[in-house]
Amino acid sequence: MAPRKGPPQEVADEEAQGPLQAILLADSFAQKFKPITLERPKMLLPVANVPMIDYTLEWLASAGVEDVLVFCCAHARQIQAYIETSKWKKQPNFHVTPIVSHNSMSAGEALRLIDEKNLIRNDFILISGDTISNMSLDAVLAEHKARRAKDKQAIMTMVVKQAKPDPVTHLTRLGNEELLAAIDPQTKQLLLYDHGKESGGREGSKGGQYLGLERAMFEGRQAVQLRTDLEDCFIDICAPEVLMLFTDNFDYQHLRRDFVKGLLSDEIMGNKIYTYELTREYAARIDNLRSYDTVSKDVIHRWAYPFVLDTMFGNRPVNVKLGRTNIYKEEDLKIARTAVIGENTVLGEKTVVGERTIIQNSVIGSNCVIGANVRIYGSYVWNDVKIGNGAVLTSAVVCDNVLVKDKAVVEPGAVLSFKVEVGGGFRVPAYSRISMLAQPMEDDDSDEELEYDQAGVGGADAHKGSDDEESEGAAVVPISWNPEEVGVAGKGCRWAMVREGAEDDEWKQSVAPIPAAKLADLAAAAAEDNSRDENAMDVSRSARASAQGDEETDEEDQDSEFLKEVGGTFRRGVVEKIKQENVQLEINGLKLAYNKTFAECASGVFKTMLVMTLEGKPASPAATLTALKKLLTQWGSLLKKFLTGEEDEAEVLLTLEEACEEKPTRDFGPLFAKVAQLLYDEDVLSEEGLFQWEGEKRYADESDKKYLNQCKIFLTWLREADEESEEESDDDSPLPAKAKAAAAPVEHSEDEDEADVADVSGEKARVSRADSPESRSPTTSISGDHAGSPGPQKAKGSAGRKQAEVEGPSVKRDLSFQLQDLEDDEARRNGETTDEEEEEVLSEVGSAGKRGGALAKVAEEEEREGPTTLPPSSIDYENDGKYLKGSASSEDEETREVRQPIKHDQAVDRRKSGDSQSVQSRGPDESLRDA
Amino acid sequence: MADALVEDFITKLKRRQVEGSLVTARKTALVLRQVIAAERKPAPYQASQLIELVKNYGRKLIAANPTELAIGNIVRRVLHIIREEDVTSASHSAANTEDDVERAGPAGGGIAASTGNRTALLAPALKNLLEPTPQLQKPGSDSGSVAESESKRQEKPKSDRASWRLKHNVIEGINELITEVENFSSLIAEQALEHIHQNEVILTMGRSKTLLNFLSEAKKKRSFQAVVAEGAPRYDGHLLAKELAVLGVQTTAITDAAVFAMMARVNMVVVGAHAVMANGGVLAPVGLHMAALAAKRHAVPFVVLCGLHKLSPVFPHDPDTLLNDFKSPSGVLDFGEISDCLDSAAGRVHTPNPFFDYIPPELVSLFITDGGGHNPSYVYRLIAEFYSPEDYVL
Repeated sequence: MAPRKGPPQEVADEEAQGPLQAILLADSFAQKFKPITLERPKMLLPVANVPMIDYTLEWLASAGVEDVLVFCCAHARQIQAYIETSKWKKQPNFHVTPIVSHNSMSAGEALRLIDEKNLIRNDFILISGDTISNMSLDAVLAEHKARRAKDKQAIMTMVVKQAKPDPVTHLTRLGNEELLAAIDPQTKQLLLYDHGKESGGREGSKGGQYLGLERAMFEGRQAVQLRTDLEDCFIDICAPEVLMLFTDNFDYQHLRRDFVKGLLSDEIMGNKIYTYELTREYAARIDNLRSYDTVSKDVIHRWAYPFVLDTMFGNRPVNVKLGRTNIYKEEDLKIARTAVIGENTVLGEKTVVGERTIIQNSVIGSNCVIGANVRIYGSYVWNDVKIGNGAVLTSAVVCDNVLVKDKAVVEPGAVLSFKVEVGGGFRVPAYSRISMLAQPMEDDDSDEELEYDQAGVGGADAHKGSDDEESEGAAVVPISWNPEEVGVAGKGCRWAMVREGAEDDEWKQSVAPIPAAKLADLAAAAAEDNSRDENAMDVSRSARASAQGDEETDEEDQDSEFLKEVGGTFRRGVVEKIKQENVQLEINGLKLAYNKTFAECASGVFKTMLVMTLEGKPASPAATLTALKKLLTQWGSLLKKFLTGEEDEAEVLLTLEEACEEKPTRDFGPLFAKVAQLLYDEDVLSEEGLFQWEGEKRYADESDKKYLNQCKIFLTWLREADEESEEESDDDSPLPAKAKAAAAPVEHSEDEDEADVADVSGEKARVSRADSPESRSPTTSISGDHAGSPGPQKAKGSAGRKQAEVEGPSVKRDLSFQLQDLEDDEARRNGETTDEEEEEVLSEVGSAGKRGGALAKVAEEEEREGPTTLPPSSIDYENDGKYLKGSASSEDEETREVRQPIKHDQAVDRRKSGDSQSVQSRGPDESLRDA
Repeated sequence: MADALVEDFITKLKRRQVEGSLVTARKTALVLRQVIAAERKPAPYQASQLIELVKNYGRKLIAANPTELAIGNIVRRVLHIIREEDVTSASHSAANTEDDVERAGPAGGGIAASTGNRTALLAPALKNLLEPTPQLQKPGSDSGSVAESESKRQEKPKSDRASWRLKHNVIEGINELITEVENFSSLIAEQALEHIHQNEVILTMGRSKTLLNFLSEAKKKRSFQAVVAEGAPRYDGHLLAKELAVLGVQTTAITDAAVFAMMARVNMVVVGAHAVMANGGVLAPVGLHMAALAAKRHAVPFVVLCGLHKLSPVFPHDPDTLLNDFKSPSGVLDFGEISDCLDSAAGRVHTPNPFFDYIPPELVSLFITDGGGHNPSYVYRLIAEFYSPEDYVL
């Protein structure tokens, strides 16, 4: 056929530079859809009668992607067969290539495999086959490419969608935890990604009241936004380097939990992730049954337009007619005249609906036979299902070929997998899952990695079965059906909850709407958190203490593991007489792996020392000390290497305190002062460190001062010795801040802590609740304004949200890993500028009474003469700082107020006079230059 | 090749990547031209074969996006061209065969061939009853003598040539159609001065290329004021307002809701349309029905600009569902704000986002087409002029 004209111009436009590639992971590597996914891969499950993968492929094709690599794992053959027979194989300019692997258990492994095959040459799109979207990729690709041209390390662009910032909504919509992300509003660089406990972040919304922000985050940035109003769409534009990274880091499994987190915490490689925000376009991923429900509804409500049923996309050449109130009817329907088809309903072709049946908010597949007087509300009925007269289905998922006999009742949240038969009049309890396949016996270990294994095993099992539909049936026939599970003459076995103890949580991720009672609970919890935000002034110490307690337990696992590792390493070092440098290297490695600070390493090593000392079963306290001394002389220098400042040294003492309280090393309790002296003698601790510790203890409870009192004599001796050497140790001297702090305790607590911690309690960061109409922008900005012209009203260089160490060692440890950078800075500052004088002001922002906002405490430092060398970051409290509590300061309200009542007022005034409501700061770069 | 092209176009239509009556009309004509050009059936073939071919593809194209009436219009226009060409070429060849026939002997072969050709194309219709049927004619021509068969033998190369000529003429005709479609906007704009007078206030809503051309043409000679309603949810009125302001027209942008209030001061409403139905009703971007009613209330002329390719022989029997496109609700509500409404437990809010309004013919004062200005009551005549009645139902 002689073409008279070339192909139309559109095609030419798309091919600018090589074909655009996409990797589609046709396996979720999770098992939230079990037991359905035992028989059919998730990607082939129908959403409003069209397989999920069709939505994804159609979107990719229409967005100009030309080459799609479909990675199949579980049920690979089914997916392959589907693709082979589908129209995708026939499309010009669109190639679908299945890649099969039977033993990949995670997205990480899949990507490593693809990297091995060397199929990706350009920037590519990484999605999973359960993504439904209608976004245009042009803009995001252009953005990504422009960034890549400038900066080779901008390796990934993550698509996010703005959603309602409300934890309840997040849960009711997609069954997910709220996403907390820190984004640079100018460059759109992603700085922090926290997806609740699923990706190992804040443990849920309850426990994680506090959030550490790394100080480096603020370096060189005008502002940082903390956002909770985003939904992750799981659409990533990646550079080819991403695959390499997966190959290099063989422990990356999960895309978000491992890869993104790893990338964000890794400062050495300097790879960056950026975000692209969707506003009008739609994108969502079906992750669990709740999001299956939500996304189905979105499709029915046409959010995914043009991928809606009546545009006949995908593989089914079926005419769909759209009626009012979103009723989609396919061809050849037989609907009884007295049947009522309610709103938001899809009826598949050749379906028969009996007399007086009512169907609402439901999707009915093809070739279904629905009897008379049936009630179907909010349910998903797939193909070839038979529902007997008088049956009632509410919010259920009913797979292919299911038979629901007369007068059976399926309660909300139930899942009836393929070919199940429910006996007449039987009542299927809510949230139950029934399958023809028996539940595999397995240890119910909720460890995530194991879950992958199970998913793999399950996939393989089902794969065997699915090769031959009949044999699969044969495999399960021997089981005699339990009438208690499926009713008389029913077929199928009821599955126990996927996870032990998850029974309570079933409602979270089922298709059924969340029960009103649970919703009320959630709303109440949210409101409570809100009120806590607003009345932060009134937050009692006990509430805080409990919050911290929670946090402690949350992190305990990781902490103890780290300590164990460090201890083991050190012990090996001692026993096998390994060189000190090597031990140090190993511990450094652990430090990086666990994202800990030097102080924590030191604590770990020291703790092990104590344990080892006692392991020798010393006869007397004196013997104990000698043993410890021996260890210290030999290994003290190693310990010293991990101590970078007084902060760390104080940390060691705090560890010692802790150790004295704990069981194995309790023997050191009475020896506390002795051990402290020993450490001092061995040069592990300096006197500044000791004073630091003393200072931190100053406001502690009496019970906490037990060891301080023990050391009193020693400390007094030290101070005397100190004063002898330095006469003018009080005011206006270039004395190291710490010494001053020790001497002048009133100012001390402001000086001492450098934790750059924005205390964003999980709930408090929940931005822009409905009750704050004036604050439409759900964005909390933290800005470090480098341009800061130092006017008198502006507080320059807040030392950040300083962290006073009052309440106990645990808090300190939680926060201390953020201290590291600050300490470096501090060290530099002390070295380079000597003539500075600092005055610090504690200010409150948005006091509860006046603004109803959360309390934000900002420790501001104001310079009087000489350049300030304070950290560059400060908090810009948009919306009166309502959402972000700028201070992790755990010191008591009273003490602070006693100390700085006047200055506090000043600070507030200052803030008011500054229209921008932002606390400006001068960066250290600038100040250093001045110096 | 042609099939691939059609498939590609269908996919684009389904994905709504090709939208708008001008683009779809032009593309449809191009695709059909390709289809006809690539048709390599062994000659001789009848025009009816060509018509079947075009109809088949036409149905597919229409099904891909039923709301784009321009596709159907162009398909019918092409069919009409084929029929016309066939008639002329038939009469042409009739002239030729008449010579043969005269030489061969007395037989009404020539006329029979032409009428036979013609009637073969005609679907059963009332007027066909009055004409002689081909069944009656064919035996007549077949029952000829040896001379008949001789002339048949001669006819073979001739009809080959004839069918080649037919195809050529059809393609020529389609080319003309394409030019017409491409140029309709300037033809409409030329008439602007007749309708827009000095110091008038013109109200419009939304944006269309035709509208902009029309107004900018008027601006060359006249000074007038424009009031532009924004045209939610597309808000393309904003763009038009800006463009007009750039042209130097004194422009006021208003919300759609303010149209009625503004109407009292307006001399004329000029809008673009998506399609004109057979009864003179108009499918136009949503919101225009309201504007038309407001114009009626204030006795302001409501003028619709439309190219002749938008003229559809379809009657609006169920306009609100069949011929409307419901877009994503994101045009109505922002996703983030509505998340509560999306909550199924609370019962979802319906957010239909229709793309078109149907404006009944009694609200329209005048159509300005590339063929001149017409009343809504005249539309049926235009339709008869451009389409063959056999093709009204494809």
